[in-house]
Amino acid sequence: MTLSFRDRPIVWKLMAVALATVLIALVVSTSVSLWTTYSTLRSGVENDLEGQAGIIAENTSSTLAFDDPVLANETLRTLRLMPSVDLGCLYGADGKLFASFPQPPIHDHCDDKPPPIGKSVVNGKLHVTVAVTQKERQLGVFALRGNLSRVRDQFQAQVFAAFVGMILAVGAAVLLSLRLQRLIARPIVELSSTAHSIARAGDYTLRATKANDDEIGRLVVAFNTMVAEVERRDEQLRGANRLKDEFLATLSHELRTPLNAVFGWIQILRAGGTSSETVARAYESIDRNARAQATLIEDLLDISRIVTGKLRLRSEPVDLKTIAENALEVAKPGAEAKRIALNRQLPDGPAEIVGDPDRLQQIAWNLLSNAVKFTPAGGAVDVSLVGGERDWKLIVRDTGSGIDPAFLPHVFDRFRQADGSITRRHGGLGLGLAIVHELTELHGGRIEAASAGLNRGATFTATFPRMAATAPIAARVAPQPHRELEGYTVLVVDDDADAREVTAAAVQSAGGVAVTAPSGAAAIDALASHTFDAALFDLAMPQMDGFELLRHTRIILDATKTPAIAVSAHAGAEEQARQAGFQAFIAKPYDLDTLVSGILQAKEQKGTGSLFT
Amino acid sequence: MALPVRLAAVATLAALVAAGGAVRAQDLEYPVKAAYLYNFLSFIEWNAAPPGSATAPFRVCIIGADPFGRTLDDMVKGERVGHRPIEVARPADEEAAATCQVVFVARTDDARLPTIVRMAAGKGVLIVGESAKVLPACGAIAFVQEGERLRFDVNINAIRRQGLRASSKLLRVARDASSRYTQCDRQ
Repeated sequence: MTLSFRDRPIVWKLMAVALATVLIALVVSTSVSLWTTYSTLRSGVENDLEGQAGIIAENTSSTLAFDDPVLANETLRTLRLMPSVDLGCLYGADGKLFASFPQPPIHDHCDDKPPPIGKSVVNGKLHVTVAVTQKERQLGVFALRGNLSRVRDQFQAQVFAAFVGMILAVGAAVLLSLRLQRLIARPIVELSSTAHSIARAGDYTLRATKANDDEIGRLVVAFNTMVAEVERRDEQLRGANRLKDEFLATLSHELRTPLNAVFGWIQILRAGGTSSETVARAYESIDRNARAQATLIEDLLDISRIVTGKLRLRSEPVDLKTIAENALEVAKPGAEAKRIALNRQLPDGPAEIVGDPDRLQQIAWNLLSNAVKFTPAGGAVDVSLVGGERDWKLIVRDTGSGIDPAFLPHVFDRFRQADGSITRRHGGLGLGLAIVHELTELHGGRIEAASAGLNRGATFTATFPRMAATAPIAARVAPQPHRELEGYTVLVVDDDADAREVTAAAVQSAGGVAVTAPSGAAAIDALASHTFDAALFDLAMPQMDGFELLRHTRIILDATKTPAIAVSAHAGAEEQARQAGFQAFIAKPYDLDTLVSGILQAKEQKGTGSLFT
Repeated sequence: MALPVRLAAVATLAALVAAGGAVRAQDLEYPVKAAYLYNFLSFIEWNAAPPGSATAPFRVCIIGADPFGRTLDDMVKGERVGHRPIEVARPADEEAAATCQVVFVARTDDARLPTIVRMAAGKGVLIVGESAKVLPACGAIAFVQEGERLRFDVNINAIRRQGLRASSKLLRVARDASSRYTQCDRQ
């Protein structure tokens, strides 16, 4: 296969360009020069011969006039000094040959008749014929025949010299283009081969070498910058992939662990014959493990919401002091169990900021539970709330395992744990701090981690801006889950039997009466024959989903002032549900408190008119 | 122009010379001398014509016996020296020599040479004779027969004395171009 000029290597192209340039220039200039030389040489010889013919004609006029052929021949003999002259012939006025050079019997002979006056070239011989005159009287004719071999010889010498010069010039061009290659082609070729090996081997640690400061040099620099960026992203990508793999391993482990406890206890309970203390412990353990798993899932959902930008914060006055106290209260049993001292330094008055109380609680609880988790028995955890001019700082300090300085910058990264191994001491998904970080920033605050090193404790400082105006804060109502649904009749609509039963049991445990319906049609029947205090619609049901069911039953519900409450495992459905006309939204999985308070709030709204419709 | 005519005149000489073998030398002597006499005109630097007579006839005079007959007249007919038409004259007296540009003296009239030379002194006259007495008598050119060839001797002193100048080419063809006649330089 023949390679077209375009596809040949740059080295080849440079060489070809140099040679072509030199050859064209040389051929053109040499041709011009040779042509000029030839013309000059030839006209020189012609002039010589013409001049010689003139001189002979002048000097032989008297020999013709006075009939002296001896002297005429003598005069013509001077032509022997002219190598270009082959033959000289002097004719008298009668046209007869009068004298000649060379003299017979030499091979060349003059014609019998004089040629016409003038100049002509025949077969490489120059014929010059002039009139012999004296005082304007023509006495005869002189004909001279010269050869142009001298011109030819000199011209051939010139051509040879030009040829030698051309070879030298081509050699010089080759040398020069070899040098040029070092300057131009080699950096390009090196860059190209570097790029090739990077592309082939995927080794982004390779770099091209910069030879000069010209465009190619800048190209090399730009190329290296790009490769460095690719290398950085490649490492990032590998790191992220590794994190993801580690996270998935952790996640499956963390999700399975509580299930083991739950299944184990359930098997023990089914077997029967267990003492009432064991049953109580079983319930306790099942509850704790289910909650732990719910927390994990909640964390996952939170991260998912944060990543997709779907997390919505309420914005209302919150007292950070209450938040901190609540968190301390919740952490107390765990801390006491590990003999960890919980110290608090809280201000006398409220620490008011604006935010989402649930999320702020989550922040405080996460920080505090982390501190307890990573602090060995006998340690101490300090919680302080420090008021600045513009902000409040929630500081959680522990005497725990501390943070490796190398890990410190990544402490708030998602899915990142200092110990990613399967044998790690501490459980959890590594999402807590990431969630805390995101939530704090969503509140307009910031969070910082500090540690003197491993086993030297850690300090987390969350800073929140103070609220602009000092509006009174409604004291956060602590949930009162016990028997609040006394006298309530609640319709529970869900196609999933387990979910239906759990919910019904929850309503009953709160003192209410639950009526269940497995489908939209059954729900319509129930609503037509009874009056309820609240209706719980699962949103995702076959045939008729929660939204459609609401449309069909809206008139009955309004007439009986029955609030409709959407229940869904799909967290993103809340906004849609409220727009569709549900008075409340309860995300699955839910605990009893959430269910009860959701029902109570919905009932309250329906009584006074919906806030959302 | 006039060239073909002149060429014809020269051709006459050449024809005569070439025919020399066939015709008796006796019969050819004077036609050849006439041709030479005419040819001399081309190889001599003549004095300028007197003011106001630039086209005055250029006189070739035969003083004494005329051996040419009509040959010379025919040869120079219509020819010119510069702008001056050539005229062949036959004056009777030696005194007329001063009015001529060329004077031919036949062998038989050698005795008249001294007078002619004296009359023509300094007048730019070329005196041509045909005997050995011509040059010693301060004549300019003397025809000499050398075998079959007609040649001539030149008295350079005499020519110079007349204020004329002979072409070197003329002197080269001459059998003897001598400047030993120093007495002829004297005025």
